[in-house]
Amino acid sequence: MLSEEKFREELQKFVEKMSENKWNWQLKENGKYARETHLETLASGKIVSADIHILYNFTYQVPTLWFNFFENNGTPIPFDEVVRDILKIPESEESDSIRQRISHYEHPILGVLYYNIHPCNTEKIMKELKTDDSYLISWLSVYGQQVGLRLPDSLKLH
Amino acid sequence: MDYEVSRKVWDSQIPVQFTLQAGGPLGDPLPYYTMLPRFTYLALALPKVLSSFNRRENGETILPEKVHLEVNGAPVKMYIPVGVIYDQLNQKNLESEGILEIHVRTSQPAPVDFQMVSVDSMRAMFCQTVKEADYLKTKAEVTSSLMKEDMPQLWQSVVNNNFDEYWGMIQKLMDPKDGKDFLHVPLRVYVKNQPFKQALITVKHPDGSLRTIGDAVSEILQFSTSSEASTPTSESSGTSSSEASSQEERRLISHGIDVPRHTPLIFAAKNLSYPDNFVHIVIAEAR
Repeated sequence: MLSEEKFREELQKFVEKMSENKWNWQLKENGKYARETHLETLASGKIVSADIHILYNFTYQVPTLWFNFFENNGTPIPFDEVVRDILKIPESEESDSIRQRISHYEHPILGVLYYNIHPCNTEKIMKELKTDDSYLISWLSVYGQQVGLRLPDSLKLH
Repeated sequence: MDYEVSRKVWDSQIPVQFTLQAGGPLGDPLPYYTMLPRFTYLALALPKVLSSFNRRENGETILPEKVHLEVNGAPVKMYIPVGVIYDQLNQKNLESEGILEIHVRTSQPAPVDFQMVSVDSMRAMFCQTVKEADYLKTKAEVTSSLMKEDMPQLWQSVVNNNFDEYWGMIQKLMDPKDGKDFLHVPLRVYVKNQPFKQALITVKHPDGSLRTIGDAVSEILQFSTSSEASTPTSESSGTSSSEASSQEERRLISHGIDVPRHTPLIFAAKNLSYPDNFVHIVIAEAR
């Protein structure tokens, strides 16, 4: 578990560390969350923009990854397309199982639907990691992969 | 839990009018009128509405992916209980029997701030919300001990408007067998034009006295204001006099009624929760 105060501290350090590594994360809303955006080219050649946020979840008291993908006119991309074409989750995984991991819910700050990786297992996973590195970097090394975020090599865990 | 109260809350319905602006040579179809239970969702109601519109002869079939829904000219959230949507709109004249008017529009592209929610997606959101509520109440002890078919059964009771099935399930979630107190109370507060607010709120005050719903709402609103302060270190300096007076005037609306501020929070949690296991309170200005 992580207190909100600690989360904010960690988030600030995280953003600084990321910018040293030429990764463009920014603090938003006075440090309530961090945001990163980039373009992605899909196999079909279509270009989509990815919007990724790290927010504190007050219920589970852990960080949560929120994300969404948009067409270039700003329309959010539908769930099935996000799952199959962007996150490349194999057809063999049933949509009920995917929906348990990746939930669609109201973004606590923006107030519109975004995806998030459900934080109910985060505490357990973070305990198992037992790392001395920054909490958020360890956490992102686990959760970032699920949305295709790879940490810069210089930050990889040893 | 109180059976009578739960039954009354479950049975309360609101009148809804759906209109379709289709254009085309046939003009617009007649509006579709219905009574919806307060606990249901537009995501669940929409398929029936569209199939009614689609019964017109020679009309073009309208697919759910191609429509967006508006209330008072603004996109509507299909995933919050319709009772909450109704209470938000009806703040000014609650005593008048207003009809919730939903406009189904087919113009493309849909506004970017509208998001279609399918029945499947709604079911997933509902189950996540029940789990989150249980995490708040019992650290997920109840939901993790539930049988695999229990959660779908709770959802089905909502879909089929089946109180008996609901009552069987909801008691497991609200009156856990071990008789322990809830750790925190699942409570969401709706302020006009803002995302819902939520915080960790315990059943009792540190001195052991029962927290009231009025206390809980004030704490959630104060918490969200202080965390929006310009720097994380600037703690809010207590309740100013203007805030104190606005607290007195604030009305707490749920299920269409003014919930008395002194209602114990635990009573509200057990008896006034929506089927998603959260108490939903809409803030309205005093009349």
